[in-house]
Amino acid sequence: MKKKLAAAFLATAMMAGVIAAPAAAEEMVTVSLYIPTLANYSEDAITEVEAALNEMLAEKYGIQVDLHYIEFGNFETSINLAMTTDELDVTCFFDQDGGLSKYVNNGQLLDITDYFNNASEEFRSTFTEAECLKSSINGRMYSVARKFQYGGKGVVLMNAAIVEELGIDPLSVTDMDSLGEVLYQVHEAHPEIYALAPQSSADISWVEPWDKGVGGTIFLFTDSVESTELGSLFELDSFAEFCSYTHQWYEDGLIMSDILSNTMEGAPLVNSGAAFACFVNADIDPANAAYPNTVVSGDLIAPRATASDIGNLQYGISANSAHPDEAFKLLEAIYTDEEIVTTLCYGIEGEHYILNEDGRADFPEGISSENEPYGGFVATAVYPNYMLAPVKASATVDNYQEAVDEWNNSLTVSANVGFLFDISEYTDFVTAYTNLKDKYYYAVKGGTVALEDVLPSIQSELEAIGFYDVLAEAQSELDAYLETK
Amino acid sequence: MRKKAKIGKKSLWKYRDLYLMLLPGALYLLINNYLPIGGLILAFKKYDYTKGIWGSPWNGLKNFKFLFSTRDAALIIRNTLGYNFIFIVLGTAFAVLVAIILNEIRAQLPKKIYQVFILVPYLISMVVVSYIVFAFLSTDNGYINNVILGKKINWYMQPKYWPYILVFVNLWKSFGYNSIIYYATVIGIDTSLYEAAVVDGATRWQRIWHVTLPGLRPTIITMTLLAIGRVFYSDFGLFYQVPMNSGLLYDVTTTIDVYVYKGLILLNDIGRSAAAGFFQSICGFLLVLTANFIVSKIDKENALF
Amino acid sequence: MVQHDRLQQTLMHLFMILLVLCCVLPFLLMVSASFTEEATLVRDGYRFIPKKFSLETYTYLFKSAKTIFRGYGMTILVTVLGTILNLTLTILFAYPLSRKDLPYRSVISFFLFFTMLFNGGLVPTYMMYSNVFHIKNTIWALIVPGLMMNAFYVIMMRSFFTASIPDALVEAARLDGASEWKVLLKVVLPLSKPMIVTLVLMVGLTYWNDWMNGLYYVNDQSLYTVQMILNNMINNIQFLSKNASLFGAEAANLSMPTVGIRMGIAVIAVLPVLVAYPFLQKYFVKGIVIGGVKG
Repeated sequence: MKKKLAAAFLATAMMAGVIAAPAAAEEMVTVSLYIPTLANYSEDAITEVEAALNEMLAEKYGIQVDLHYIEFGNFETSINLAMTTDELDVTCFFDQDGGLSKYVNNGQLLDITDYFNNASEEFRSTFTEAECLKSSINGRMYSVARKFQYGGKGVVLMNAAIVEELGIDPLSVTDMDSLGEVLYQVHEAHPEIYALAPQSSADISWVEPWDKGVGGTIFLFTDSVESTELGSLFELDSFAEFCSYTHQWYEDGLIMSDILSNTMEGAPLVNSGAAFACFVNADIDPANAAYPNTVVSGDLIAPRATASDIGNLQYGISANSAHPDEAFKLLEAIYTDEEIVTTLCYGIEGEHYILNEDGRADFPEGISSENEPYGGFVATAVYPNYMLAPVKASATVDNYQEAVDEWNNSLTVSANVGFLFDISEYTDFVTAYTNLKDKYYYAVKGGTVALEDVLPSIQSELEAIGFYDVLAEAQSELDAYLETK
Repeated sequence: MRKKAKIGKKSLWKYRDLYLMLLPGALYLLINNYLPIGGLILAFKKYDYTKGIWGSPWNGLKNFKFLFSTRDAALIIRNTLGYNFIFIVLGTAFAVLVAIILNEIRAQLPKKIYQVFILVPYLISMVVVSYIVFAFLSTDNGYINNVILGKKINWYMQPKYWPYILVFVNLWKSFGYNSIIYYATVIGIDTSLYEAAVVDGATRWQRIWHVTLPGLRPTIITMTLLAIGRVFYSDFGLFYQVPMNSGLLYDVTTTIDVYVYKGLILLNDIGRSAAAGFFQSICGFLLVLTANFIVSKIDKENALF
Repeated sequence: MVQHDRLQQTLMHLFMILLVLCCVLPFLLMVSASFTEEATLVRDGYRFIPKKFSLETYTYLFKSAKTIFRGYGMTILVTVLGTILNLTLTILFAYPLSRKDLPYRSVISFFLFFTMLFNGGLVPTYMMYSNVFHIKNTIWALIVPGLMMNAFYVIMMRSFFTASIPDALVEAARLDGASEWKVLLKVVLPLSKPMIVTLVLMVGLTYWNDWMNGLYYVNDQSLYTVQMILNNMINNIQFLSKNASLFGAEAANLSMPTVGIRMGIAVIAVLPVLVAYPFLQKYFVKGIVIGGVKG
């Protein structure tokens, strides 16, 4: 803090309006906390929330926090740099595509097993077994999962006006065949719009029938979340089936022809009427909550959690942290202390949110998601344990904790959760595979090329980078893992 | 070398003011560029965050393997070098042409206007350029398909067009800036040389050939040498964002930087990123040394050092 | 002869006009896109004259006007300060290098040139600036690292001095008893206006367009420049399109800026430069006073 001030001093001489960070109390240790921003946070709001948190933290835990909100598009770059020094203590990180093993292999994360075992019962019981598994490598724990509903289900968002005009029953759409029927019908009636837009950018859909992220890697897949037989993505039956639909649709002009170079989101296109439908993922809340001109189909993919879904956001402590003890104290507090969790998530009561008479949290007068100065209240998904905060007025459930538990218990969890494949010896392979996958994945999945046309060259390229050897190795490790389980 | 032996303390003292002038810049370079250069050893280490740069274990040449071991290696090196050489040749020729024309145009106001507008592309960031290119090439909405051709070409799925598109975009974006550099040199050429040429009855073309081009030569050589030093690098935005990372164009758009980015961002592998940078630097360095040596043999004045 | 000359002039003007159109039309397409209604853009495509005119983009941007104006302020401050510092260092370094009699000249040139090809890489540089100099989240983070001096500009400046400042002039001034500083200030610099203005333009543009330093060293919103705002937006879009499943169904509620808005911000980021450039250029053209000093 002092250093920041000293450096800022020079700048202040030349420019008005540099905000000076408040000086922390001398005797208490200040722990930095890095969180990605999913919505807008004003610098003033962050300062206020930080001050409020510090008051509570000083009293209850004898520590101080230094909040760092970072644009989520820059988040990984920022924390990776910050972790080279001791400026970062506690951070959120993304555990997709082998995130955890990458951080552990690089020596970025502190082993918190002992801290965890000595932590309060309340903290330890916050996490399910599956979540603990996802935070551990070889029995050592390196982080804790963000508390969240697992996975999701696959549905289709459709433009309400067209649904009504053509008399479509949205709930009759429950699989690719029934979706296809509706799409052809719409294309005939409205050839000027996209019958099917990609969910986001070049990706037609995020929720797929196959299991992905097996072993915490980007290259191991199984045919479904129940299957434990590893394969290459391009050779899976479920992938071939999915792509045979999309390719036919693409050929027939149902899918946005620019899908490979698209940079737009599907849902707003559907909402504005520029497209009829797009795939979306949904969980507890209805999928069309933010899009009033849309309706939701039946479930194309039943609620399930793939191997990469559970604990895909984690909170951990930097291995270079100068104050690991205090950092862990903060970690406990932001998971278990209701007052701190609420302030961190929603901001200051009366200013960033209010409590209605029924105890639900709502926007204060004159504030909406558009101008909320503290973005946490708009987008709570990045916080460690939002379930402790009061239910929002907009929520369709009465109790987050119960709703999430119910959801998590109802869905199919990947049979491969917990298995980790150590890629530290395969880094060159992963690099080559990533480039190979990028070359074909979106093109085939979006239907722009037929899988059978490119499969031979994909297979020979996979062969060339040694994919099948890695696959065999991974399969034997997975089998061994499943046996011990 | 021979000279150096003769330089005594006294004569160095004579130049104290000049050395003093060099001091701030030298200090800055020392801090900004030379101090972190120890980091180059990361290319030979398996970087461990806890152990830091010096404490991390050695890794031999393993970090370099991925640049050569796969069958993509030949492709990415071919793309990187190929595009760069085309950029250097076409870019220089075109920029020099524009600079000369600007100089030959007499009307002052249009000349100023031209100079403002040819710089517009340079001001637009590559990401935005990628959106503009998309506005032209989009299959359904693109200006070219919709208005000019009236038929649907899937530009982003056809590799055969992209070498031309990329060269065009690069030229479009950079020629204004380079022209201005050359133009600044042209207007710095001693006008008495032109006057002498006019007295001798030289035509416009003779003046350009005998006065303007020789006057531009040092700048052209400098710029080309500098560009040669960077032939193993590529503009990431041009090759990644402008083709919208379309997989089907991969064979003609993947350069070393794009490959490294796609493959390593995922792994956050600092050692191998450093190795790729080291490889790019050292190759560029050797090329420049060679080129500079040749230049200094022909024309000592214009060598870089 | 005169007619021939006129024809040549006309041809050259035609060529330049064509070039200018080539440069400006795509920019206009971008401007037009920012004024087109979003749904029309998706449905009817890009046109130079919007099919359905809309100020949607700019009303949206006006809502965040505070952020954008502050970004502007920051961009201008960084550009001015950075350009002054850069030019000072560059000129001071280039002038001695242009003096052919300077001992160890080629060693120093090499010392300079080496920095163009080799650098320690991001991580060591970051550690130094963050740990040793503590410039994170200060305005210096946007000015100092990697930008304050660039060997390329020094070499250009040096070439200009070598080519355009007659040795005799410098020697004469030295014989008159002027110090090196005085020679630089009173003799060399006044003759170097065209190059200085060119460099001001180039360095200024580099600062204006820079977002890298911001990405690495700044996460304090009050220090965001316009380019950083634009770049953050693009990064967010790219990240979200690949990783949105991280945020579950909540990701669907995050409205990403539409193409129109992205174009709008790009327009806003470029406009001031287009406005300011002609004024700089006045000096640029005036600088042609070099002739007639050949000794």
